[in-house]
Amino acid sequence: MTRSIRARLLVGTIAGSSLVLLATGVLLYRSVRIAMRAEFDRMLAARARTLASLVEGEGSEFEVEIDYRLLPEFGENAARPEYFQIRRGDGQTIERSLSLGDGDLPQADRTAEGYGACSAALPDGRPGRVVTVSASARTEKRSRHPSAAITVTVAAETAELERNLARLRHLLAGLGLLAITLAAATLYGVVRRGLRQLDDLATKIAAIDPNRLPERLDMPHVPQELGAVVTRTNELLARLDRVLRRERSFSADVAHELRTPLAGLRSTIELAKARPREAAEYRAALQECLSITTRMQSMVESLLSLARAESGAEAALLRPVRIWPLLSECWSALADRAARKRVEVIWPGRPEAVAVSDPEKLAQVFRNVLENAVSYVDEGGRIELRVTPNRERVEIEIANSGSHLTSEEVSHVFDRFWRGSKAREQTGEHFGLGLCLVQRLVALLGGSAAVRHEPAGRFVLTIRLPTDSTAAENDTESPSATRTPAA
Amino acid sequence: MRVLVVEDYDPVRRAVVQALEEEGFAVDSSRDGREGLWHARATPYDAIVLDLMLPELDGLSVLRELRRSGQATPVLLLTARDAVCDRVKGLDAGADDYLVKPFALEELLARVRALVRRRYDKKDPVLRVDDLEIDTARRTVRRGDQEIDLTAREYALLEYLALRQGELVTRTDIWEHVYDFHSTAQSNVVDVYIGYLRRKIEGPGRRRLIHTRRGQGYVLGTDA
Repeated sequence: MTRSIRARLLVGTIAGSSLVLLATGVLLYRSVRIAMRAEFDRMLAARARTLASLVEGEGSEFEVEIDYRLLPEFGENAARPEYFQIRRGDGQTIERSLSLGDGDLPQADRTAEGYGACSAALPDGRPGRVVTVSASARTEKRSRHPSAAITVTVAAETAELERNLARLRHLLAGLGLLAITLAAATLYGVVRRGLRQLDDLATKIAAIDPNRLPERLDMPHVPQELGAVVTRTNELLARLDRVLRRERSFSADVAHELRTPLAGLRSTIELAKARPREAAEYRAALQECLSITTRMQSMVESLLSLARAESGAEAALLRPVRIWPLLSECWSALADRAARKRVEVIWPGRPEAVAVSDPEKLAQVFRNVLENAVSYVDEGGRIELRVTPNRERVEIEIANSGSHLTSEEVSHVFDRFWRGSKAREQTGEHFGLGLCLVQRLVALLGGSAAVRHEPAGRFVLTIRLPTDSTAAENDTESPSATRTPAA
Repeated sequence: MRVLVVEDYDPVRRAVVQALEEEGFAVDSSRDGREGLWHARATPYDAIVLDLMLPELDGLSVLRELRRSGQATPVLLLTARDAVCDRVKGLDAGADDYLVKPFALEELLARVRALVRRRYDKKDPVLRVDDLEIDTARRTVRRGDQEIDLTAREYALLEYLALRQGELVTRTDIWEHVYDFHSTAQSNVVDVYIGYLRRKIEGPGRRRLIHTRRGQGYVLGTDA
């Protein structure tokens, strides 16, 4: 059916109010009809009682004195005659109105009010009401007989009553129609006005420029129901704004991080060929270009890994992975650098720990975390590696001394291209992508990564990886499951 | 002319410093903003090449700090950010020029030369004193029809004197604008180079252009 709120509201409210009006009209009409009939019946009953008072007699002898000049409607020649019939207790007729002739009137069953009434066709065919009243005939004073019971039945046409009722029906129907029309017009206006705010809202939302997202819906006077929509929309805009800002600053950062080494390459090459030089100078220039290129390459690789991890296009091939052998293998590549910085490496105990993970991605995580620790540990400082296997998670803690980060800075270590102010001294050495990549990869592996900063410059990175013990018993060579990252 | 280069990325800094030196500039360099600001305050440089992203103190802060303390040294900003708002921010902070990385070394040198000329209110890249012509773009010197061959240091000294022709230039001025921190300080080195210059540009039959003000310094010009 129709999908317009306006149409639904209108149809619903108009149908509802019409039903109410119809029901009210019908009820009103019915009660008025009942009241008018009762009044009509009471009037007939009163006339029947008047007639009964004219009956005198006892036993089987009754006498009725009726002056038809005073009651012409019961006469022979009345234009719209009425009828009566007086009967004895045993049902035998005592007297009939002249208008009735030899005919009989039906008797209505008497009710508690002392008379009975029913609708019936009159002897001449017109519709009418018949009322029967019980009474006693008058007796002479000091008579030995008890008064005799009689019934008087009076019948009269109801044409006028029906005409009045018909007039009432028409009046009610007309009033009802008028009321429905007025209500419909009013409702239409109210609904239109109410929904105009929705149109306004739609217009405002349509006018939002994604390039100027700090913009918010400014609708202070919206009704309560729309207020929630406006608030939620503004919250959505704020979230979008944050994401867009991050993406924009990311592209700007990528541009910056790529332009800087490019500038180094270009300047070095231009300088080398600006004039004839010694062979050694060319060699030095080439060496410089090579190391810049290597660093650029590793940055591009990191960016690609990050993009793959974030896009979720890549699924993790999960299988049981023993943590210590992998961690040792990753460490061996960095051991020389650590030794040059005279770093003390502490591995307190080596409990057997198995995580269900993707060995290649986990190795990438470990390489980045260890590289970070070796880069930022102070000369002669210490690096601690601690693995704690639990029932559901393996916890891997990598700590290094000599951190200069402030607590505010610690909250940014997972941001892309973020570097502590100390690390900035070495533009080109660190891209600020390592820990960001760690976080995304660990999330892809179903785990979590967190950092904390302890007093005396101890920087601790904790990685929690899931251990699914049932999966751990499977053949270690076959991938036991794949996990795609949650959006 | 003496230039300060503040840039943290080694390959760019090394190349820019060497290129400027080969152009005859006396160059000092610095790897972070704090040290750069300290140098810039201590020495009246003829131009400063300043990177925006610097450790310790970023380039914009260095620039604002310099301008706040009344330093008018021309500043050429280097940055990897090329958005209009970044450039506007840099210029509004008091920069004189702007170069986006990666840049051509040629262009950087030309811009630095232009900044230096502007510092001495010279628009024409060719400086003239009597019949002596110094082409600062091509770094050639001629007197009359004759080309004069100068060493880098001699050229730098002559260019500085020519930029301030008619003014009294003290030995300290020369020391500060023609030599960098690495030069060995010998008290008579200025006088020695003035002697070399005189021999090359004045010679017999030519008008004297370099005049000595005893105890004060030198004036380059036609009048005594």
